[in-house]
Parts: sequence; structure tokens; C-alpha cells
Amino acid sequence: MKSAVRFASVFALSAASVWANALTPEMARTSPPEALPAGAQISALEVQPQKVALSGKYEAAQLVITARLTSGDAVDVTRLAKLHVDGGVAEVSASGQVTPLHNGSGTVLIEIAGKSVSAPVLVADIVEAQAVDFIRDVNPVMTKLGCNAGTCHGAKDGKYGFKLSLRGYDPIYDVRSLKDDLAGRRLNTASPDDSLMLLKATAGVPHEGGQRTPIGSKYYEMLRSWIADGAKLDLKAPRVTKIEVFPRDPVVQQVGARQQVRIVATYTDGKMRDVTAEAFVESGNGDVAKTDGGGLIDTLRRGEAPLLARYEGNYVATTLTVMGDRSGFAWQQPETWSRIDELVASKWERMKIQPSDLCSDADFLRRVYLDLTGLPPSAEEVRAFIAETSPPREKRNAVIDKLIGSPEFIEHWTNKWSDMLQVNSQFLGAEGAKTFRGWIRQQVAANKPYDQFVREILTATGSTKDNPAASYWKILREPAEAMENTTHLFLATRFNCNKCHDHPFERWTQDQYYHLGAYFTQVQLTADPASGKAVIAGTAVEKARPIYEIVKDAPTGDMIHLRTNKVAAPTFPYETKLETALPEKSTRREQLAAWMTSADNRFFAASYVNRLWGYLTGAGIIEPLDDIRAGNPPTNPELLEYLKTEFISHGFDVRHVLRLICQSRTYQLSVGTNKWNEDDKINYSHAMARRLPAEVLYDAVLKVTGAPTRLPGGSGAQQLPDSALDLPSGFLANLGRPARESACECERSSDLRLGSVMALLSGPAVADAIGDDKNGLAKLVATQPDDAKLADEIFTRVLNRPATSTEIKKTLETWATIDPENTTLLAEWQAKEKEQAPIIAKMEAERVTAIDAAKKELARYETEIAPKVAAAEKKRLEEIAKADAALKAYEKDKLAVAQAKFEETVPIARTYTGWQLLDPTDMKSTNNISLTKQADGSIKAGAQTAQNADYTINVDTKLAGITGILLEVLPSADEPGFGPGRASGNFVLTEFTVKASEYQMNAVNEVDVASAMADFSQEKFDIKGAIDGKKGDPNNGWAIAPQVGVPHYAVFTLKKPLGDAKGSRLRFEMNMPRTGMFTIAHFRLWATTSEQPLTIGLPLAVVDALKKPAPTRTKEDVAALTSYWKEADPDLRKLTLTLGKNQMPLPIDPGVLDRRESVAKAELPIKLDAKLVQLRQDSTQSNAQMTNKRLTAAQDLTWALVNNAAFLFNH
Amino acid sequence: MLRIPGQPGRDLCDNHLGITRRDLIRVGGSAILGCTLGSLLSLKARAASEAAAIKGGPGWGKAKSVVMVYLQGGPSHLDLWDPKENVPDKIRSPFTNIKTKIPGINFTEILPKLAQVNDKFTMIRSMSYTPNGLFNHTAAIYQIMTGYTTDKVSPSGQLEPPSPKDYPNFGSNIIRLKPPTEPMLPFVVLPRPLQESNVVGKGGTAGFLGKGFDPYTLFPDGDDLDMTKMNRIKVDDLNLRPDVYAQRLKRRASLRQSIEATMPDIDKAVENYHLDEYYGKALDLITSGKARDAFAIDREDDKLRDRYGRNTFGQSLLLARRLVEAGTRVVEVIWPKVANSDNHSWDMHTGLTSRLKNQAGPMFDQGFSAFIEDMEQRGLLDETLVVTLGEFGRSPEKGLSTSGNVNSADGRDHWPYCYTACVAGAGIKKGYVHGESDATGSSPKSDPVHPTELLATIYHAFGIDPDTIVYNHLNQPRELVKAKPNTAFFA
Repeated sequence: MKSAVRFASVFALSAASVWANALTPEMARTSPPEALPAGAQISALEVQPQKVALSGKYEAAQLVITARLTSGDAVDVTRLAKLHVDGGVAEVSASGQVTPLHNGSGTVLIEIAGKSVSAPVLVADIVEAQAVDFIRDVNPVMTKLGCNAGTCHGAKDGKYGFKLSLRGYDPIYDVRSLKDDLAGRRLNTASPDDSLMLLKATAGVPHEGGQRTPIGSKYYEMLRSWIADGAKLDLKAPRVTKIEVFPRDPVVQQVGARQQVRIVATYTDGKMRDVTAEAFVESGNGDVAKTDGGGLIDTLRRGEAPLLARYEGNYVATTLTVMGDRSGFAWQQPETWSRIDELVASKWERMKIQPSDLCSDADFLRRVYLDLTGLPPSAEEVRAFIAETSPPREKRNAVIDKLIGSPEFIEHWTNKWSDMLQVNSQFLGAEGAKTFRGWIRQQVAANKPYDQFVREILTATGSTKDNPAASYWKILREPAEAMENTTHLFLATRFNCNKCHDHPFERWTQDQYYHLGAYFTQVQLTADPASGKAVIAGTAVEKARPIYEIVKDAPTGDMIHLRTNKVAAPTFPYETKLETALPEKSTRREQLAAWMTSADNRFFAASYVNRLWGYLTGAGIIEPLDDIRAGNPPTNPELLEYLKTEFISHGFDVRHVLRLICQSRTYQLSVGTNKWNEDDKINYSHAMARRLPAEVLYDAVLKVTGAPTRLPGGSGAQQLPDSALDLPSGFLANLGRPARESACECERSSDLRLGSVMALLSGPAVADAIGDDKNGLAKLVATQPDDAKLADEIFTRVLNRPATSTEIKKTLETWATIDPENTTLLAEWQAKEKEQAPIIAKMEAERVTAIDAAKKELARYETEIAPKVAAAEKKRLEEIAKADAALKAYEKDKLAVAQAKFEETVPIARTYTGWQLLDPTDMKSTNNISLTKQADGSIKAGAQTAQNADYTINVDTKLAGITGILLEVLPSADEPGFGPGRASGNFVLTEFTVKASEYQMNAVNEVDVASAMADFSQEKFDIKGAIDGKKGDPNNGWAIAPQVGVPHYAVFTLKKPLGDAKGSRLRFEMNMPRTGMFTIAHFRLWATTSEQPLTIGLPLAVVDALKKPAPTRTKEDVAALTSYWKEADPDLRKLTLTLGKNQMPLPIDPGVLDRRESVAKAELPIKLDAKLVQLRQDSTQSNAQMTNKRLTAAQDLTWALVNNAAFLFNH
Repeated sequence: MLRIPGQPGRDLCDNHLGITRRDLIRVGGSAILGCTLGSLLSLKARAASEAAAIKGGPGWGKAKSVVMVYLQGGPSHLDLWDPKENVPDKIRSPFTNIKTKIPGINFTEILPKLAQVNDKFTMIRSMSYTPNGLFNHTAAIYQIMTGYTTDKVSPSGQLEPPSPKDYPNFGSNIIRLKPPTEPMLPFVVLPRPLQESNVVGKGGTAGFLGKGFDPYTLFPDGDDLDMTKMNRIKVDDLNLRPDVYAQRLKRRASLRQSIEATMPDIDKAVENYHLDEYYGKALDLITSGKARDAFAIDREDDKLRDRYGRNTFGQSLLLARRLVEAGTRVVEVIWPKVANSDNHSWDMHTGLTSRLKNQAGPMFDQGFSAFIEDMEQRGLLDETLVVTLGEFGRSPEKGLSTSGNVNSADGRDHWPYCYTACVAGAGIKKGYVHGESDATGSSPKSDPVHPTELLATIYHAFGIDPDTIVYNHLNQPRELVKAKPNTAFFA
């Protein structure tokens, strides 16, 4: 055997061997030296391939040498054997890679431990200028070097300005990127060594990715030749059609031993090549086996690891088994009850696994109840089942038959499907979610065949209200989204990564994505008028949608391919046979449903039985349950095939499959393990503990404690119609209930983390159920006088099995500590009280002193300022007297004159308009400004907290045919400048909006205002600005300066009469955005049904009086006029306002306010020691609990059991 | 009120990649997946590269906690800490300049207290980025909080509500990569969510990392203008119920354990769930009262509470300090007002003078200066990184519209091209000013710092390489943030 060192230094052509070694020095060092198993005797030696044929100087072949031992085991000895090529045509490395030297033939000789084997070697086609093809040679090298990886230049945006297609799926793009971008600097065909591509790859210039290959290596030479040849792209070059891996399903006996695999590619021209060096081989179970990306696999522990090999967009998987030390294992055929048991057992035998025993009756009963109905059995059911004397299989089958199809079964499986179909009010509204769940429940109750169920969903048409199945299309509105979800949900395959590029870990291509997507493009949604005004609120991006929509198939609608920008025709990624041909004019969705639900569809039935198996055993035959992939092979393909066949041949009967699984002995094995199966997690040799799903957990807590539900609607968790509903503490979400935002099984989480443990340990969901004084525990304590029997009964309720004597003993021991603990606690409390007493007394004394001092200071200060206050009060009274006198004088001397003048000059336009006061139903302002209704029907704004405000006034009125609205703004004595606005009396009403709807409903429809007039408008702030639709503009709207301090009116005439006898809701929105408090402080709203044109008008009595000549007026006429004028006279108003202002109480001295606050602060209770407060509280509780010690004890035990794995898990 | 996020919702629907995310974290470099071959070699090669020189460079791994004081709304740099002189009236701040502890560096009169402590932190006066066509708050918030921009936006520049596909908030990344070592809430956000209009909490979740890494949110009831609401914090989940006092809970826990011991088969079957470890931690967290005590701000001295300011912002900062003391890794104090609102929000399109003078300004000056002083006095600044900024600054020219909003003559619009941020603690230089804005505060004159660079610096301070790869919901590899840390801030 020649050393690797020699041919590295001598032959440039053999650099590939150096390269292969250079990549893995760390690996070589850290792995222990390989050796044959101790005492192994080789009986025969095999080599693969049996013939080595190499074409051209860049090809290489990987040998795999297997030794058969006398023990019957096979061992990979590739790196242990002595290797040598006779004839000088090729070299072989220590790792078994054969590389060509010269054209001709020779033999590779293999020898180990006295045994030998050989294979002929034929080398041909080596020429001086070896042609290098981009597709066949360059792309695989770039892929192997990592250039086009997802984290490097294959990333979505490339890296550092250089982008390649992900893993080289698009050679045209890649060659362009290399050749044309960056002014062609990446390739230099005249001087290939100066190409940036090579300089970067060899780190000749700084490269973030480091050195990928050294100068002179085989890969370097290949890239260099391609560049030197002009960097051509031959699109007709043969492509890889498939790859194979050898040996298939290898078994490694010893943990730590290594296994070499070979990868062979077949091309479109029929040629086959060994591509092991450039292929990638990855382990699907890093705990069992790992690779460095190449074909040499390290084993880490006993188990099975799927290996996925990929090369140029082709994939092949095989399963590596690491047997490990099984000495002493002797296979004993276990009892089998069914075909399932036989298929599972044959895998055990192969894997050298001895299964656990059958589980106990109690374990079985709990398991099957939880699995099939989502609820544990009752204590009575447990006792009856254990007492039942018929043979185990018989009585267990009877329970299975009883549970399948029971009402609880229907709720449980309805909930499961509601997850998968995303029954969520976010998409459907609360009503729609309820309706859709109802439909699902009907299907589950009727045991609708699965294929039919899916077809009904996929082809559903009509309103989501009448045909709730159509909700699927309301939830998944976009064709791409619907396609990705549908393939995921019903085929358990993932079509999403291939949206932007060929799937990097799968065979699905980008083309297939769009062709399949085309089946989803002709779904049309229109609003169902039955929705009325009910909408599902949208977001900033998405519009609000009607609650019900009508789904139908439109004749048009296409899918545009992302890369080609062309219409993608509807074709399926693989063919299936249809039982019955579709009618000529079937819709795309009908074609899709027929294809998908066909018995011949390789994923449809298989994916669903895999889910069912996984739900019932805790691990799918394919895991994750909804991820069927080449690199994720089934752990027991025969079992999967059997279940699938049973499912199909029984007309897609879900209950049949459930029954088959539950009746198998495999399902009924114990959770306990033995030496030969304790590390098995995928072969069902023992039951696996599965954490109860969040809803099941809560429902189970309710059932075992006998407490009422606290969920909205008073239902159990599994009956909730909608994932938006939860306990106030968010218990269900916290325990991992899916949000129903996707169909992924991964949405449900069954972990236990700090947050979920805290919810169980101290959260209200569990505590409320245990502490509820009307729950089953209270009754139990009252009716069962014997402590040991009480404990046993609680065990049977919570864990669904009787307690053992040890458990009862331990429980009673704990219960016995309640008394002494109480005594200790009380003692501790008393000690603390004693310790704190002097401190408290001191603090109390200080508090009293402080209060006294503060009060004294207040009194002193009040005395001090008393003269000042008295003087101010005196002055105030004088001012009041003065104002009062002025008012009286005016009334006596001038009022009548002014009134007479008014009567003479009152404009004819101001006749009766029939304004009726509007009584607000509610009033609201932004910025927390209060609005209060006054006795006179006006509205007054409270303290100003902000620079501006918007008011909203709702009014319910029975007025019919409203023609106009009057806004009256009023002065007040307490406003600066007497109002009516707050900016020195002025305001800017930027917009006045009227909305209307039915009586006492939310007013949403805007009412058209035809015109607006005001008694006065400030220059540039005409009333018309208040109805021009421009909200938010501080420089536009109605203002009244300089006429502040007096009332003003604005009349808004409506375009169309509004309202009828049934009444209507009016909503007035007053937009006042101008900063500087340009808001209205005091106002009143009126409406009229008078004929237009409208005026501000006068009261009817006044108009009537004015119509008569003065002498003919009655006493009533005169009174009406006088009383009206008393309100209207502007001078009188000013005097009244002045009087009102003077009458306002004097503000309290700030010094007094401060001191009052000090008193209040001093009066606050003293801060007690936190520990003392706690002890007081705890002792009180503890003492109270002593009055019903047995209930306290029962609650403690229930808590301890609920928080136990035996309750939290199905086992 | 206090939501303890439960499950670490599995972040990936496809976990079939050859390398687990844990492996990637352990190796700690980028360019791993797909470059698997020779990754160890390439890591060695990188040791000499610039990126690796930063890693382990100044400030690397100094921070054990971070407090981000997030001034949502976008404070005006020109009217606070980067005032300009000799500029036209329409640019000039209405406020006078005052001297600060650092000679030659002025603030406006709005920040008199902060001017007395600015020798304790670094100020970056050259924060700058060019938005991706968007000027609104949420897009900017999302960028600083996650390091990424998002493409799904409404015409007004608003984003969709939070989605499980979002990039994670940096706090979620930190607690995932550096989980706290003691039982304490790892990541807390208070006193209100990030919000613009009706888009609430965008950029504030763990996104595709899964709910297990969501922050604990502590949003007391009450209006934003209710300044006493921090007195009403309720932490029910952390409290013992009165009827299950500590002694009884311990009795229950010991009964639980003794029964567990009778079922070894089940115990073994669930060993991977680490039930006892979690029950131990949870029991400790509740009975020790550590978390509950951290929230009891009423145990603070009245004078100190006054010093922080008796308002939502001040008391939130005080709580942030208490949380850091108790072992919380990441605290985000969100300015207690909807980003695009009036009154004491920072979004001052109008009424800037009075709003800064009477509302936001004094509240910030008092609270933040007290926080810096208090943190320093307690030695907490040694291992706590403090970062303060908003989503942008404000337009140098008043009354000008840059975002489509209307601005009064006394208002400034959004301005991402130049603004100011503050960083302190965990080895950050004291009394240092990084970068400089031009004569009008319109763009950086030197050393521009992109917000993602600041984010990268936060990761760096925790000893996390910003290049670390996380996998999104489609299992696509993504860097924590595509930026390099800026080590010039570190002493």
C-alpha cells in the first residue's frame, strides 16, 4: 500500500485524495483508531463495486469493503484493509478512493487478516486537455465547496454582492452571475488564475468564507479548466436522473464503528458515475449517527438513523442501524393478537428488542379513555372494570367498542379536526367559527368516510353560513396559501420552500409549486348578504371582511410562475389513478379533490393513518406526523402499508383504524421498560408517556375534582368552538393549545416549561378547581368518614387506580403534620407579634404625633391667613353687591327700552323654526375631558387636560323627518373671557359631522349636510369650513372672535329629511384639533322638522306675540316677550355673567391645600413589617383550615396527584 | 396582567436539517450550514478576520443584563440633546442651550438634570438610516427591535399586527442564547406595548422563535395618562394564594414528591421533561417571593421614588432597576404613550414647545437621570447595558412635512437621517460623544451609526456574535442581525 503523502507530492492529478483528507483532519484526530471487534473472525470479504471503471482524469470511485464474520455480522473494513492497485493505472487512498493515473487496465487488491479479494480497474478517456462541463462537473464542485449554500452565495440576497442559485438549481443564472456581473471580473478566460472566482475560493484575496480549496487541488484544476475553455454552458449536457446509495440499510454492530457508503448517479444518457466525493450524505438522527457531509458515517449510539444522500437535486434515503452491544440477548417471540403485532414484532426481532409486558387493566382503561374520548374514566368505571372477570382481551375490546362513537369521542375528535381546519374567530368571526365546528362535529358523529370528508371540504361551494365546509376557502384566501396548506394537511408534504427555488431538501421543484398552485386560482369569494353589517375587523393591511362569504368556482384565474413570469398550467406533481373518471366540465377544485383523495394517491391515506397511529402511540411511523419526505423514511414501512391498506379497503373508515390500533397488543403494552427496550422510542416496544393536551388536561382536572368549568360559555375545553376563547389566566394557551393559525401539528406544544409548570403549581385554573367549595372533594370528605378510604378514593378519582398501601401510609403521614404545622405557624406568628409590638407601638405613637403636628400647623396657618381670607371675602361680597346693583339698575332702567327696540327691529327671517332640544344619550371627548349635561339641556366641558379635543355626542330621538340641526354655543361665568370657547373665549370648530342609524344602534352612516349658516363667523373662519370634510386642519373651520362672551348659533340644513317614528340614533362629531385650547366649553344641540329654508328662529310664543300689534297683546304674550328678552338681552347677559363670576367661591389658599395634604399623609396607616403581615394572613388561613382539616388534607392530596406525572401524562 | 408565556412553541415545523440549531450556537459562527464541510477549518481561517477580531474585542460579553429605554414616538434631537446655534428661525429650537458636564457639549434647557449626569454615558449623535420608502413608526420600531425590515405594509406605512412569522425581538434572541442562570423572569416589557394606532406589539414578540421566548408583559390597567398606574401592578401568578400559603404549598410539594417516588416506571418514562427541575424552580420562584418582591416598588424609599418621578415612566425605570437586581436579563421600558399620539408622546407634529416643556421633557429628564445615577451608585452599571433611543429624530425644519403628516409651525416631522441615542454601562465609555451631526442636525457629519449596528452592539455586549444563525418558520437560515458591532463605544 502506498502512502497518501507520496501521491500528494508526486501527482497533481491525484490532488482529490489530498483534498478529501485535508477537509477532515479534526475528524480523523478525534475519532479513535478503528479496529476489528475483539475476537472477530473473518469468514469472507466483499468489495463494492465489483468492477471499477473510470473515465477521464477527474472521476474517482469509492470502494466499500465488507467483511463477513463467523458470528454472522458484517463489518465495514474499508479503512482497515490493505489496498493496492496493480498495473499502475490508478491509485487508491487509505480511505478506499480510487483515482485514475493512466489509460489502461489493472486490479485493485484488498487484503485483511489473511483474507483477500480483488476487483478489476479500467481507466479510459484521459486526455491532455480534459473537457470540463459546467452542469456535470463545475456545479457539483461549487456545491461541494459550499459556494451556493443557503448561508453563502445561495442566500436569498446572495452574500457580499455575489449571488448564486440555491445549490445550483438554475445553471443559466449562475453562469450569468459568474460571467456578466461585476464587469466580468469573476472570470478571466485569458488568465484563468487571476479570476476572482479562483482567488476568492483559494483565499488569494480576502474571502469571508475563508479558503474553500487550495491552489492546485483537483477542484481548483477543474474550475480553472472550465474558465480557460471559455466558461461555457451547455444546456444539453446530460443531467442526473437518479442516485443510489450502497450498501442499502447498512447495519453497524459496534457503537463507534464507522460505515462507508457509495453514491452512484445515473444520467439522462444512461451513463453511471460514482459521485461519492461530491455528494452530500446527512444523518437524520444526530444522536445516533453523524457525517461530515460526505459518505463516511460515524456512529454514536445504538439506534436507527435515516441517511439522506443528495446530489444535483436528486435524493435517496436509506436507514442506518447501529446495533450496539446486544450480547446476552435471546429473542423470545411475544404473544401477538393481530397483524399489527406481527409487523411490529418482526422489527423488534431485527433490532434485538424485547418488548414490555401487557399493561395493567387500570392503566389500559385510563389510556384508552384519554386517547379516544379526551377524558379519564370515573372512579366507578375504574372499579367496575377491574372487578370484571372476563378475559383481558375480551373486556378491553368491549371498552374500545363502547368508547368509539360515544358523545365524548365525538367532542374529542371534533376538537382535533377544528385545530387542523383552523376554526378560529380571527378568520371566521365567532359565529362563523361556531358554525364550522358544528359542521365538523356532524361529520365526526356520522363517521363520514375520510375521503368524502376531504372532498366535501375541497370542493365546497356556497355561503359559509349554509355550507360551513366552504369556510376552508374563507380561511385560506390566497391560492398559494391554500395550496401550501392543503398539501401539508392532506398529504403531509411541504410545498413552501420550493416557492422561490427548487426545494433544497426534497425533490419538489419550483415548477411543481406553480403547476399545483394553479388548481387553487379559480376560487372566488363574494360577500353573503346574510352577513348584514357584521364584519370581521381587518388590520391596517387587510380590509375588514363580511362574516359570511359565498365560495364559488370562477371560470378564470391563473397562477403566474415566479421565475418565468408565465401562466402555469394546472398539472399534478405526480399522477394518481382515479376510480371514476371526472365529468368533462369539472372545475379545477373537483380535479384537485379527485386526484388528492384517490386511493392510489401515495400520500393521502398513508398520511392520515400515520397521524392516527401517532396520536394513539405517541410517535408516528413517520415523525413529525405531517412531514413525509425522502429524507424522513417510515420506521416500519410494512406497518404503514398495512394500516393504509386496511383504511382504504374499509372505505376510509377512521373508526375501523382506531379500533384496529387500540385492539392490538402493541397499543396495550406497559410503560415500564426492560434492559432490552429502555432506549427504544420508535418501535413501540413499550407505551410512551404523552403529556395530556391542554384541553384534555383542563377537562380532566374538572372531572377528577368535580368542579364546574370556568370557561366562557360554560363548556369543557374540548367543546370550545374557537381558539380565541380561554380562561382569564390564559391556561389553555399557556399549556400549548394551538392558536389555529396554521395546519401544522407543531402548533400544539406538549412541553412543560417554567410558565406551564407555574400555571399548574399556583395558577388559578387548577387552584380554583381544587379550592371550589362545591366540588366533588367537599362531598367526598363529608360522606367518607375513614381517612384511608378517603385517600384511596382520591387516588382512584385522580390517577384512575386504587392507592397502594405505601401511598396511603405516606398520605396519612403528611396529613398528620397539619396539626403540628399549624401550631408551629401560630407560635411563629405570636413571636413575631411580640417582637414587633414595641416597634409598632413606637410607630403608632409617631404617627399620632405627626398627625397632631400636621393638624396644628394647618390650624396655625389658617389662623395666620384668616385676616387675609376675611379681607378677600369682604371684597368678594362687595363685588357681588356692586354687580348685583348694576344688574338691578339695568333691569329697572334700561331693559324695557332695549326690549322695545328689539320688538321694533326684529328681523322678519327670525320666525319660528320649531327647534326641539336634543337630549344626549352619551357624550365623550378625547383626552379624558369630561362632558356633563346641565339642567337646561346644555353640555358643559370639564377641566381642560389637553391642547385640543374631539367631542362625540350620541342622541336617540323619535323625531321623524329631521330637516336641520342647530348648534348653540353658550357663554359661562366660570370660563376665561366667559366662553363659549376656551382660547380667550374663542374656538375653532374644524369639522361638524352628523351620523345616523337606527334607534339605539351604533351610528355609522354619515348624513349629508346641504348648507350651514351662523349668526356670526370670524374672518377666514366661516361656518362653511365646518362642513367641508377637512378634519384635522387647525386653520380651517368656524370661529367667532372677536365676538366672545356671547352666545352664537350655527344652523346645519340636511340634504334629506332624516328619521322616522321608530326613532333614530344621531351622532355628532365635533373635531377641534387646533392646539391652544380652541375648544367649545359650553353648547347645546337642537333639531327641527320644519320646512326649509331654516333659520335660527324664535320661540313660537314670541313669534305669535310679535305678530300682534303691541296694544292687542295678551298678558301671556307680554310675559313671553319679557321672559324671552331677559334671556336674549346682551347687556343684561354680560351683567349676569359678571355677577356669576363674582359669586364664584374664592380659591382655597395653596398653603392650606399643602397642609391638608400633609395631614392626610400623616394619617396614612403605618407600614407594618412585611413578614408580620404575611404571618397574620397565613395564620388566619391556617386556623380557618383547621376547622375542616380533612377537606384541607383532601385538597392537598388532590393537588399532589394532579401535579404528578401520572396525572399529567397519558401512560 | 402578567402573562407567563408557556410553551416554547416549537419554532420549526421542519426540524430535519442535519445540524441542529444548538450545534450552530455552540460553534457560534455564521456560514455553517451548507458550508458544513470544513466548517471547523473555515472558523479557524476566520479567527484572523476582522469579524473575529471584534468578537472577544472591547466590550465582548461584558453585559449580563440590558435595559432598553425605548422612546416610542421619535424624540426631537434638536430640542433635547443635539441643539444647534446660529441656525435660521425655522430650524432653531424654541429652547435655550445649557452647558452639560462635558465641556463643549450642550443640551437644551429641557434636560437640566440629564446635563448633570452625561459624564456617565456615551451619546451617539450620528444615528442614521434611510428608510425603505416608509416613514412611519411601526416600520422603524420593527427595525430597531428585530434588526429586519418587513415588506408587508399598508399604504400609510403601517404594518400588520404581530404574527408568528415575525423576526424575534432582540430580547427573545438574547434569552434564548443566554438563558438566565437563576429562576427569575428572563425578559420583561413594561409599562405598555409598542404601538402605533391599532397595530399593537409589532416587533415586541419572539416571533418565529416561539411563544416560550416571548417577554413577560407587565401592562397595568388604566389610561396612558394615568400616572399612578404603576401602583396597581398585579402579579397574581407570582403570588401565593392566601389559602395556599408557603407552608401549605411546601407540604403539598413534599407529598407530591413522596408519591412520585412510588411510580418509578412513570418517572423514568417522563425523564426528558425534567419535571422535578421545573417544579423546583417554580416552587422556588413562588415561595422565595423573589420575583414578587422585585415588583413591589412600594418597598422603595419614598424619596427615591420621588427622585425617579411619580409618573408611569419614572416608576417603570425604578422597576427596571429592581428587575435587573433580581436577575432579569432583558428589560424593555417602553415610553408610556402610543407612538403616534398627542400629549406626552414624542410624536410632536404640533405643539412641540409646550409638550416638550410641560409633558414629555421633564418626565424623561427626571426619570432617566435618576435611573442612571441610581444604577451607577448600586454598581449595576458594571454589568448592565443601558440603551436609550426612539425610532427616529425630528425634522430640522419646523412645519415641514416629510412623512405625509401635517406639521404646524411649532412642530417637527419624522427624521430618520440623523438623530441621537444614548448607551451606558457594561464597559461603555463614560462622557463620550460618538459621531457628530451637521450644522442643522440633518445628517451625520462623521461616524454614522445605523440602528442595526447598535443592535449588533447589544448582542456583542452579551458575548453573542451578531452573525449567529437562527432558523425561521420555514427553516431558512437568518443572521440575528446583518450588521457589525461598533466597538468604538466601549472603553
